[in-house]
Amino acid sequence: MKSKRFSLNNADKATSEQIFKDFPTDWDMSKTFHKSYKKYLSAMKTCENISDETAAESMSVEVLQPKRSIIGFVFKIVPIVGCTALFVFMFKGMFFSDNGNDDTPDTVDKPPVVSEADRSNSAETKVSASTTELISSTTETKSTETQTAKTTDKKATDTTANPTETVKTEITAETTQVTEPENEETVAVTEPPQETENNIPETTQTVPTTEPSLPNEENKTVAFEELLAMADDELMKYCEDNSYSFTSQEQIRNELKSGGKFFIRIKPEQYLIDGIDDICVSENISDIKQYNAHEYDFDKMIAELNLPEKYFTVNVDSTPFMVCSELQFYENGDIKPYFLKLANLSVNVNPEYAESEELYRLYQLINILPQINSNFHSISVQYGGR
Amino acid sequence: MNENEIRMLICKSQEDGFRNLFQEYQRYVYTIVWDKIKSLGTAEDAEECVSDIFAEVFIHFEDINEGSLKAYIGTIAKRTAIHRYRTLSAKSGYIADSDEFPDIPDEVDIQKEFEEKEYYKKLYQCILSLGEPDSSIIIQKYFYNRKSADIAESVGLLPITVRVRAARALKRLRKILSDNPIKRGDNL
Repeated sequence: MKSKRFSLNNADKATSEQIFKDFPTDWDMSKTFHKSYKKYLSAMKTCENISDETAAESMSVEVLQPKRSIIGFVFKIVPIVGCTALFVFMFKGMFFSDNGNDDTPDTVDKPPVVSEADRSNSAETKVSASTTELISSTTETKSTETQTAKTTDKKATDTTANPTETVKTEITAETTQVTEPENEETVAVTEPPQETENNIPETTQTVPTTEPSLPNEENKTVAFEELLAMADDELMKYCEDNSYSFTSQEQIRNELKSGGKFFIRIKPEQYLIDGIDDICVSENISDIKQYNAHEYDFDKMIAELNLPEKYFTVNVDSTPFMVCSELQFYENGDIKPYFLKLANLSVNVNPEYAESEELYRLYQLINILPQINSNFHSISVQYGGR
Repeated sequence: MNENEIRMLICKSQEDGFRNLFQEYQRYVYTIVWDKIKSLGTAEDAEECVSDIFAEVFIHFEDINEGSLKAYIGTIAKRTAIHRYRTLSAKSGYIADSDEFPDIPDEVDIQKEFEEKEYYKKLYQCILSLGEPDSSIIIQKYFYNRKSADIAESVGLLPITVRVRAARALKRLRKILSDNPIKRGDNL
């Protein structure tokens, strides 16, 4: 992988230590910090989503708790029923008062006839009486149906006195009644209608969602030809933006000079033919079969590599799978190896582009395009053999 | 900034605190990482590895006992770097030699080893004799595998100047080495 040019990378330990000492790595690494912090935030976000979900569950239990008590429910529902009835009567009264003339349609009962004197007397006094009664009956929360009936009856008669005024005062009375001092009442008003609805959105809101990442969507819009035409800097930026690893043309040149062959390694689970099971990850290497290519849909796998046939040839070798070992680090400090089955696909740029100026760019794209595939594992460059 | 100050800063403002923690330990972590992966990895691999290490430290920061922050960071850095080294060697099909796995006993050619040490020691002295900023450029380019653009930022020159200076410095180095030949110096 490395260049065979002048290099100090294989310097002995003592010299390396001296270099580290004399030339410390204290250049600006703010980009690296941002990467770390972003990773940290995304990890924390996942944790928060989980804790929010559990919090929402416990909240929904709390909300449900009072509803289990029938008495509590009755106490909450009665004032609401009362208020609703009151409201209906009030509007009915308003309706009557508005239409309390000869034009009143036959379908509507006519309001009780009240004399002019009565109207003038009762205009303010009765209204205030009815409203105070209303307030007292509702604020006590023990308003029984009989009490509300009384007040509503009164109103039905009183509203006729001075329609506009009564309507105004009664509406304010009612609003104070609902919102004023009793938190219990406001809860009672707001809760029951949401009995079923209230819980559902809360939990659904807190379910962690996997937002589709923007860069991946961008990828789909960047055409292959565009990538081919990009300047090296642009391609590097594209890779940075999408968190893809970037291989420089210089590296590619060295790899090709050294006779390197490019292999794309893909996690094969998703390409198993329907109805067939296979072990792809195991702590025991003997669990992993390496010669069951017929159980996998390699055509689909190759198609999803996003490498246009015009430029590339992808081959499935006689040994299509390889086993790679990785280490699992546990929080308690344990390290355990496990084995991963990977499909190993060799990729070449078509020979007609061998002399082309785009040759190295095409090889660069071998390293970039397969990364769009979620099953992508790695690219390997192998020298000699195979 | 010591560990307690970093902890206090993190309590006040998490991002600022973590930034300071990063600045305080970036050299330490990068050195550990680069020491492990330099024979196989690129500067990008090292930076990726460093970012993984710090993300891990940030995530578990609250669990780190007081007074053991540096040790914790060092342990995470070593483990992650070894893991990255193994991944890189698996990717490249590279078989590690005995220097990188000293636990594996092998026949040791003492004379060859001595010559290697002497060679790199003299080479390093020759690089130092180039003077600044050339020696910094050469070290950053050929030891840390950094790009000219990045080197330019750290030495305060234009990337093109860095490239030109690097080429000239190599010429001078070649001349110095041909005037004072050292064994195994034929690969420049």
